[in-house]
Order: sequence, then C-alpha cells, then structure tokens
Amino acid sequence: MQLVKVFVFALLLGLLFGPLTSQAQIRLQTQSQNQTPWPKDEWPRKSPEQAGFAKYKFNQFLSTVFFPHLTFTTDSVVIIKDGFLIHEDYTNGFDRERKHALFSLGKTVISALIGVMENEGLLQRHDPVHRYYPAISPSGSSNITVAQLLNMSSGIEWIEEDRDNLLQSDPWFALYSRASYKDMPAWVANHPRAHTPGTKFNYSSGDSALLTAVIRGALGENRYSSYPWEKLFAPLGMKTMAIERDSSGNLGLHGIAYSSPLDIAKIGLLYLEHGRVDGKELWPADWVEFTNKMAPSQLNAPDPNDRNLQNNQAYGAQIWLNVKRPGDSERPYPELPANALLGLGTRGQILLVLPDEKLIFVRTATDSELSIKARKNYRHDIFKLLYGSLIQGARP
Amino acid sequence: MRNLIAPILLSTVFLTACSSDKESMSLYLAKEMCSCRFLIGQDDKNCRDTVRVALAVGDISVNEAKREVTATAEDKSHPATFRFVSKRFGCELKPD
Repeated sequence: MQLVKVFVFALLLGLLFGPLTSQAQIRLQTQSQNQTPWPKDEWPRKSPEQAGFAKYKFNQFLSTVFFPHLTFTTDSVVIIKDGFLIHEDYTNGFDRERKHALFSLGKTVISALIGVMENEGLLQRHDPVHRYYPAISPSGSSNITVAQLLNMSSGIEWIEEDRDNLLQSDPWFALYSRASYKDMPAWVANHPRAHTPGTKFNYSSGDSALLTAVIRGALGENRYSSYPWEKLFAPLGMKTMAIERDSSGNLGLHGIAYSSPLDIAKIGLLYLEHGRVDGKELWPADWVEFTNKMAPSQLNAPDPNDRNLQNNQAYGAQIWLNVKRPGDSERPYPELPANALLGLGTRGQILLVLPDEKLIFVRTATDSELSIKARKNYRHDIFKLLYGSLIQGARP
Repeated sequence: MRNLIAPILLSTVFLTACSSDKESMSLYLAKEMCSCRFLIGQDDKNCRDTVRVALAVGDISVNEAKREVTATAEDKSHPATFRFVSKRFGCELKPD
C-alpha cells in the first residue's frame, strides 16, 4: 500500500515539478558581434546536413525520441543550430503554434525576466527580498537575497521530491490546494526557515514562487500584468507565452506557464546571444556569467542524507549546469560539454543549450516516468544521440 | 500505448492512493483539464488521456459554452471549478 502511494505520488510530483537541468560555468563565447537578425517572426532554415549533422545518426536520434514508449511520450522536438531552424516535429495533437505546459521550464523564464528588470534598474540581484516582498521578513542578521532565491538557497524548508515519502512532497500541495491557490508566494512564505540563507542548496519551487512575488513588488501593480510580455516576450517574438495566476493575481511562472516549443527555444537563443536582441542589450553584461555560475551554497559538500531527490546536481540561477560539485566524480551529463545549460520541467520538458555548438534543443512531452534515475537515463540516451550526430566540423 | 496501458496500470494505483487529499485531486483534475482544453486547445479526448495518465480518480465535467471545468474527488466530494479567462492568463480557480 505504501509502495503504491509512493508510486502514485511520485508520478504527480514528477509531473508537476520534477525539473532537472544542467548547465555550465564556462563563459559563453563573446562572438555575437556579427549577430544574425533575431528570428522574430520566422526562423531561417537549414537542413540537418547543411548544419553539420550526420544524416543517419540524426535520424536515429529522432526515431529514438519519438519511439512509442510506455512512460516516455514525446510531443515535440525543435532543434536550432547557429540560429537556423534545423528540425521541428510535433505529434499527439500539438503543432507549431500550440502551447505546451512548461512546468518548471518556466523557472528559466523567471531568471530571464529578472535579468531584464535588473538591466532596467528595477532591482539588483543582491537586494534583500523583503524590500520587494515584506512577507519574507528579515530574520536576525540574515536577509534572504534575490540572488539566493535564484540559486535555490533561501534556507526555507521545502522538499521538492521526497526520497522518504513522496506523498509528503511540497510541490503537489503548492499548486493543487485551495490554501496555496489563494496566494502561492504567501503559502511558501509561511514555511519555516530551516537554514541560514545562502548556506544550503535546496531545489525548491517555493523559492521560484517567491521570485514571482519579488517581480511583482519591484514592478508595482500597474506594470506587473503586462511587463513580462512588453519587455521580454515581445522583444523576443514569443507570441504564445501564457502564464496562469493564483487567486491573488500572482503569475505562476514557477509551474503553470505555457508556450510553444519554438518560443521557449528563444530563451535559449537569448543565452547564446548574451542577452542581445537585434543589437539591444536586454540583460546586464555579466548576467549570463552570473546565471551560469554554480550556486555558492553548492560549494559545501552535498549532504548524503539529503531527502530532496532534486538536490543532486549543479545549479545556477534557475537553470541546471553540467559541472561537477565538490565531491562529484563526473559531470551530470558527461556526454555533453561542461558549459551545457539545461532547463527541465516535470513530465519530460527539456530546454538544452550548448553554447559552443550554438545548439538549442527543445523537447516537450507528457511522460509518466516515476523513477528519477530512469528520467535521467532517458536524457543521457537522447543527449548522446543528439550530440553524437554532430559531425566534427560542427563542433568547436 | 499511452492511451491504454498507462491509465489501466495507474488507475488501480490511484484508487487507493489519493483519499488522503481529495481536495487536491479535484483541483488537479479541474485545473489541468481546463488548461489543456481551453488554453492549449487540445480536443476533449486528448486532454482526458493526458490528465488521467497522472490521475485516474474523480469526475471531470466540461462546460464548453462557459469554458469551465468542474472536477470532483472519486466520491463526488470537494468540487473545484477552473474557468478559462484569456489566452494570456489561461485558467483560474473559481472561488468557493
């Protein structure tokens, strides 16, 4: 019975928030001076062969991704290389214009948005959270900062995916209870403070929900409901982006946002272009470096008894990294370069960015796989095939 | 495959599993069905399959005219209704 419960709940959970991502610390190349025009309406196209993929291996990758499977169900695949759309494929009722649930991929959008706001002088990453969201009161001498939320290091108690009791994991109730739906950030703010801010890495949809409150406080009520569309989605040409709200009007970018796969690829492109869109800087000059730097709290040795299964790899600012933490024997995805960036959302959503190869891969999916290990192994399999299909000349 | 095996497999599991939180069951069903049907715009069958892969208990009723979805827990208790408000903001929980 207990096993059954665990099984079920893992599903739900996994469903909800189980993002896993990886990313890198290495600086992106600063070669974007000769930018191609931003693909606002239409992407320029190349065939996989023209873009440097070996045809046979690339087809093997595609057939693996779309292979009918009991628990892995791919809904779309989009691949961009050097700014060109190389491949797009949609199934299960999805198409180019249709939105897909992003789940925790929305967290990477939160980070992109805060970069835009810092660039406009609306907040600074090291500001205390209570300046914008008084419900997070200063606690003794230690204030939680915006950067600590971005790095999932607030110290607020939260278990994203509980090793010991999946039924008790937080994200399920964070979304699907009347108490949280009333006001998601307030619901999180009521959780106890378990650690000194900045000292303990803990992947938490709660920290991301608090960031949405920071965004709201920094923008003010008049701008909050339009700013993300005006200042981030419109400049990038993301026309399908939708963000659902709780009953207090908080935008649920941490778990209930939706967009087309090609639109979410543009967040990846913004990383590759160092925040530049048609010559305009949307992010501070050091934003990519900041977001791609491992959370300082992860310099502490990982706790072998950590109950949160999501605390298992390097993380930046709302994006997963592909570097070793102290004590790790290998990178999270040894098959990929160390500066790979990864956004992950429950049920198999993936945004993979390879800065050196200028490659963006988006997969949307309706997976129902429960095991965290199986989910990661699946990613290893398809990443190996994708990266392996790039012929040598297409790699740096 | 996903339309058959997964729900069969999981429904037996869900029958016993979720009585611990009927409220969140109905919220889950109503919210995910509303977003799938009216925000994403998938057809009714696809949406039910997607939602029920995760959760096989509870009733879902869709009001196409009002663009609302009401769901209950397995024993018809704890009704929750989500209403589609706009393409930008998707579905919202209707107050009790």
